Formats: sequence, C-alpha cells, structure tokens
Amino acid sequence: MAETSDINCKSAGCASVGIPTSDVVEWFVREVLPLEAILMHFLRHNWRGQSDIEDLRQDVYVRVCEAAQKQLPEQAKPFVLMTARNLLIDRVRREQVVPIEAAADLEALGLAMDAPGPERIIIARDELRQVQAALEKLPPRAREAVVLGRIEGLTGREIAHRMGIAEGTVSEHLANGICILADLLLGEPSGPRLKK
Amino acid sequence: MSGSQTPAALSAREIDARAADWLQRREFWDWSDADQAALDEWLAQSWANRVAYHRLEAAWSRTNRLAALSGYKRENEEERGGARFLLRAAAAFALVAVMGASAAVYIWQPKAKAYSTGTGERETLSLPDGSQIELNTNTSLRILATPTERQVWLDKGEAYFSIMHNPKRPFTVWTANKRVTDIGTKFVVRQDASRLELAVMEGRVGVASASDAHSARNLQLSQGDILVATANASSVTRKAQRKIANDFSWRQGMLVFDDVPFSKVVAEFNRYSTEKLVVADDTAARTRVSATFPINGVEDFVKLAHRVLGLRVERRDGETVISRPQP
Repeated sequence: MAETSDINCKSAGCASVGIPTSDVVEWFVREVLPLEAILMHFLRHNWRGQSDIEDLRQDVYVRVCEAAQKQLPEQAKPFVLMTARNLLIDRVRREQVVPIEAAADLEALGLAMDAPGPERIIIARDELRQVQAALEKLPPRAREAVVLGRIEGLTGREIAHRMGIAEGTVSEHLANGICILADLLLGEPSGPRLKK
Repeated sequence: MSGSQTPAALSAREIDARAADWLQRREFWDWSDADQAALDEWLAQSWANRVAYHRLEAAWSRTNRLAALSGYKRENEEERGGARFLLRAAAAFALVAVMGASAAVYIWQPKAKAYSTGTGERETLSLPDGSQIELNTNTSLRILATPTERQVWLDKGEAYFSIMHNPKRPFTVWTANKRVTDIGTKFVVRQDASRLELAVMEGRVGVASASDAHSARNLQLSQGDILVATANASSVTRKAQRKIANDFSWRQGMLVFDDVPFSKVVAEFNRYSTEKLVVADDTAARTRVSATFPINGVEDFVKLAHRVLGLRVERRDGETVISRPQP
C-alpha cells in the first residue's frame, strides 16, 4: 500500500506536506462552498463562454484547495475571488480571445468581502423552501427517484421496483438529480444566500 | 498552480457525473468496505475528484432536512379540527394530481400527530402495529406512520420505544442531530437541550447523523449500549443489564440512582417537578448517592438529604435550597 500512496502523493491527491487533506476538505466544505453563488456570479459576469463555466468553477476549487494545503487562508472569500480572477487572467493570456473586466467587478464585490459572511446565515424555514424549490426543478423521473429515496427512505432496489424501471436507470436518475440539486442549492443566488 | 490536476480527458461535468455516481451508490445501494476503499482511492487520485465529490455531498446533505423539517411545519397545522384536516387532505390530493411525485412532500403534512406531556406527566401511546411509545415528563414528539415507514420526531424530553420490527416498514426516531433506526428492539431516547442519550434494553438499533449523507456510517448499538451524543461528539458505553434498567425505571414511576453525584439526583427530580431544588454547595453536589425513590418522592429525598447526609434545607422564593451547614 505504501507504494500506491507514494504515487498518489505525486498526483497531489494526498497531503505529503502541510495541512492534512481532511482539514482542507473540511475547510473547503465549510468556508468555500457557501461562496459558490458569489463565485458563479463572478464567473458568469466576467467570462463570455457560458458552456465551460463549470470547468472554471472546478479549476478555481482545485487551485484553492492546492493552495490551502500549504496554508489555510484566513479569509476564504477574498481568496476565492482572487483565485478566480487570476484564473480568468491566465485564460485570457493563453487564449487571447476574451476581454474581461475582472478587476472592476472585483472592486464592486469588495463591499461584500468585508462583511462577516452573512450569506451563511440561513433560517431553517428558508432552507426548507429552497430545498423544496430545487427539488421541484428536477426532471420528473429524477425528482421521483430522489423523493422516494430521500424522503420515503427507500433503497435503490426498492426505488427501481416502485418506479418499475431498471436499477441502472435508477442510478442514473439519482446521480443526475444529485448533480442538478448541487448546482441549484449552491450556485443559484436565492434569498439570503447572496447578499450584496 | 498550472491547473494540471484535471486530467485533460475529463471535463468538470464528467467528473461531477462520476462523483454523483459514487454518492448515489454509497447512499442507496449495498456498500461494502471494498466499495469504500475504491471510493477512497478514486478521491485520492486528484483534487478535482475530491472537490467534485465533497461539493455534491455537501449539497446533498442539505436535502436531508426535507424530511425533518417538513415535520416541523406540520406542528402548527395539527389539532385544528377535522374539517380543516379534510380541506388540507383534499388540497394535498389535488396537488398530487397536478404535480406528481414532488407533492409527496406536501401530502405528508396533515398526517403527523403531535403528542406532549407536561412536567410530572407520563403518557403511553399504543400504535396500531402493536408498538408502544411512552412519553416521560415534559416531552414533545410527533408521529408519522405511512404504509412504507414509521417516523417519530422527538422534539424534547424522553421516550421509551418498544417497537414491533418490520423490515418493510422501518421505524426511525429523529432527534436534533441523530437518526435512530430500530432493528427490533426496546430503547429509550432522551433529548435535552443539546445532549442526546440513547439506551438500548433489548435488540439492536442503528444510529446515524441526521444531517450528513454517510448513511453507510451507521453505528450499530445492541443490548446494554448507551450512546451519549452532543452536536459534535458522541460516545458509546456498555452497561450491565441491571444498571441499564435504571435508565428505564421511570416507566415504573421510580428513579433509581447507582453511585451518581448528588447534583445529578437533584437535576433528575427537577425534571419532574415545577418546584425546583437548588444545590448551593459544591462539596454537597459531588457527594455520591445510591438510592431509589418514587418519582413524586421529592419530599422523601429532601428529608434524606437532611437526616442522612446532614445537609441544610431551606425554602427561599419558591425554591428549595440545599447547602452544607456552616461549621
């Protein structure tokens, strides 16, 4: 097993130096993910190609985590937005196509950066409403699978039986539902989540 | 910092799809140690994988509240009379017709029933399936039974559950932070302000966090196990049958103490009475006590404190203050 973990370390998946990976992951979930709506707003605003916006988001997250492995940033929000800005600038330099005004927008976001994360203060009822609203936006079959699994507590096999479809199809619906829910719950500005 | 972690062949969307597949497998299908090892290995391959997986997992865990919170919403709608209920049921039914599966969330709402006891009260509920739930003093819970499952939200207090096991109709107790699933058993759950205590008298129960998606991390407790959990930590100890019976003695109207601090005895009596006892002395509070009292025997207890332990008992402003006499 020692050999495999050496190989993994080279591919930067595990922490060979600095902050333990589990701490970085915990920091990422706690501090960075709640900023996703702000990050997506920033990226959409400053990047013309909308099709690869998920790739940009992913790259920002990877960069942020790699950097956090050396040292956890004191404040997540300016760090994430600065990383996003640098990424966009790198892209522009490399591709020399898309003009951006990232700097200007970053200043506009500066106000929000100073505030102590009001976007994380979510009232339970709003949370429920948000989750319900997200659920209703799922494609019908994915929604049905998620409702049966999450709310009625059925297993995958029982969902397949109830919906009268193959188990593999249930997996696809569930995975699809999970992806869309994440985009809706994390990335979409709604209510108190995105305060400017 | 070249962003080289994303393998060129895979877009973020494709990595998301893989991560989502792992998550749904873990959540809804048989999950072995080998599966966990394979997932760990996949996660360790790159930060792109990790980020994708933990992002989906964090978002997914928020949907857990759906079940728990739709319960809270119900509370206000309870006990407003049959006509109202019928109206709601009809409305829910119409919603189902219009909206299909998503309305499953709403159709639940009229069905849960709320029960509560005041200070010093006890109540036994018999469910149609033969299960019994006994509410101890100052307890609130809600029960929701559907053909596919039975759920209880213990909002506060303490309850004894004697459950007729039915694998096709699992029985789940939701507390502030934990989800307790019966595997054929008798157990007591007590939810104080921020502390959960679960004692298993017979059979087995599964315990998982109510909020996270790791349903695979289901802790199994069996006869004699006692779980004590706060929001962030939990511990399990095993007690002898005789000792664990003490956790259940309130059902017979008794309080049994076996070598516990005096302060704990006082705290227990206070749960059952509106007239509170106060211990005004640290040494007295730490004195160990072994005794059995009737639940309404607070007078006997105070007498014992005075006569046997030599403590001073005073009534002040509706409280009974227990202290050590000055030498």
